Amino acid sequence: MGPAGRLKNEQFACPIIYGSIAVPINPARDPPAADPSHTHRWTVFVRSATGDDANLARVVKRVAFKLHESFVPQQRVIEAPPFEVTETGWGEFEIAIRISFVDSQEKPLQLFHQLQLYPKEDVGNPDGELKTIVSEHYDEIIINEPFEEFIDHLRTFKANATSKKSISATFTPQLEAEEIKKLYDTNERVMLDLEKWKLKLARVETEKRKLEAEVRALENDGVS
Amino acid sequence: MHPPPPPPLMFSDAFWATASSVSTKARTWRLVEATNPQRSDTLKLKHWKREDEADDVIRFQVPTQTIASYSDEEYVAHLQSPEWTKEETDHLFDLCRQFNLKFIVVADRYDIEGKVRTVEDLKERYYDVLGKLQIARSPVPLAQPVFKYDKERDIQRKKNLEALFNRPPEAIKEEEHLFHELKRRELHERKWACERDYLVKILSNHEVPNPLPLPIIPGAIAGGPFDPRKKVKRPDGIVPPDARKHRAPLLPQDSSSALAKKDLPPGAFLRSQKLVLPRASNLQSKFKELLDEFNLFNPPVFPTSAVCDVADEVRGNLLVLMDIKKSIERTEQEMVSLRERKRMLLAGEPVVPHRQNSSGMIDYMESGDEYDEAEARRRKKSGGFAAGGSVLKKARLH
Repeated sequence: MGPAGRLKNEQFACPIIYGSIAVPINPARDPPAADPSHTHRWTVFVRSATGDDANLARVVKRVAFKLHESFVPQQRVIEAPPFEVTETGWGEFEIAIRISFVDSQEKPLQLFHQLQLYPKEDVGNPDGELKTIVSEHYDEIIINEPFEEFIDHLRTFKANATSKKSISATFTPQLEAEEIKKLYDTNERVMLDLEKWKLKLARVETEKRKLEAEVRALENDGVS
Repeated sequence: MHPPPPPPLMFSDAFWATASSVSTKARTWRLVEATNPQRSDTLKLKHWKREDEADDVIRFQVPTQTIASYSDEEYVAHLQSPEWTKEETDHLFDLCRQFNLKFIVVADRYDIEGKVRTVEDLKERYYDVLGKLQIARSPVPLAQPVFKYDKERDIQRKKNLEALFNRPPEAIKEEEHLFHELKRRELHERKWACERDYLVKILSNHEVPNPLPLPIIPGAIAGGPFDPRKKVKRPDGIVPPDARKHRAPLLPQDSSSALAKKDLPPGAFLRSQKLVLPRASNLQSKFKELLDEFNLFNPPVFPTSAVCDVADEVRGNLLVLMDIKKSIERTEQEMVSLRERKRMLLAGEPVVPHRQNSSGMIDYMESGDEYDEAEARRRKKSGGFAAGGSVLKKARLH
């Protein structure tokens, strides 16, 4: 028996993409930032990977973004989609993202995102400062054995989630296939390695048994 | 100045014995005076007595040994010896009678001109006489006396004790260490045996060509959150059967899949956070090193259910790899101590009595990396990732 009210054999997955997009402020074109020292306008977000945020809202009730302490207020709670915060700034920092669910019995999820404003390799990229930087992660929120109260929401979510395409240019089925291929290749190497160590183990164990027999023979000699 | 306490003959985990029971109330002791009926005088001696105990002077009485005596005829008939004259034997028996069979004292007081007799010599003669008398006086014929003193053995026994007493402090320390090591091993033996069995099972699984049909990796092509219209060719060029039917539950529940049978906790979590990981925290950093070694991202870049299933396979195999490496390490450690033991035996150095135990006393120091039994159970239960791994390998890449 699981915890009361949880439905066994029920599991739902909500694919999400979370991350940030940062655009350098062009004083000629963009509205100036509140603080003149701010160089970038950035947005941190949690989205449905299929682009249907309204559907995601059937599962996710609110998303709280905890920004750097220099931002006031530091905690931004977004109660409805789009779950995102746009700010201006000049520095990169880690943003704590807390995802609460429609069913409040379900514990909120905590994830972290490192805000990225500048390209990682700034050498050999003269106009790097003016680039739009997207840093995003794909993941899937799994609701395993949801509470009875949650199931209808989740079922509606699932019914509406079919035949939707990824909105991301990065996380495509091609990438998925590539990742899987890569893992198979890695597995191949692991298996080869495993084979090697397995042989070594067999060799070492045989050697040890031999040594054990020798020691036992010597001990018996000593006794008699 | 007190001499240092003698080294213990045997180490024991007498930890519980030393832990005094502070909870009970202190008992009262009284100083009482008594005369010993064994004494001919009326000397009164005092001793401490627990109040709740009956006074027993018997505690101070020495049991008197009955010392056999023999007649001259008996001596001539049975007790003659090339080593001992009758006078000497008489002297020995007198002393035995006088000192209540305390051979140490007897040997000390032994005074026969030109004779040096060790305690063992005296004992040998005494028990020899006793045995011969027993046979001679027995109404039924006796093949041999009830008790026979083995002088050589007694000498060896004392030598052994002497050697034990004269151990250098390092040896004592090492012995103590070994003792605790043994205790620890005894404690873990079952666990390690389990681990070994598990490994053997895994290894044999790896060798058996899997007769099962190729498992479909659910969502590998068309699963996950996306529904690509076109079918992607697998590396081996086979177009998989319509994987659409695998979409229904996002994690497959069907038993035909060797994959994704993880005991997931109820509740909400991210898929990428529930990948296979050794549960013991100190193994986790090692595991992460291993992931790096194989250039595996942790978590995967694109943690869809399909990717995570395959990633779990690989990670399961890595756990097996880690287990094997650990077993090798342990076996090698055992061999170091076995070699040392062999060397000592060959050199004729005294070695600590060895338990006939395949694991023996070894100085293998486990750096606290506990094998995770729960993890093993979990993996066993799920049919072993490695078994699945071989399927995966053969099925997908050949």
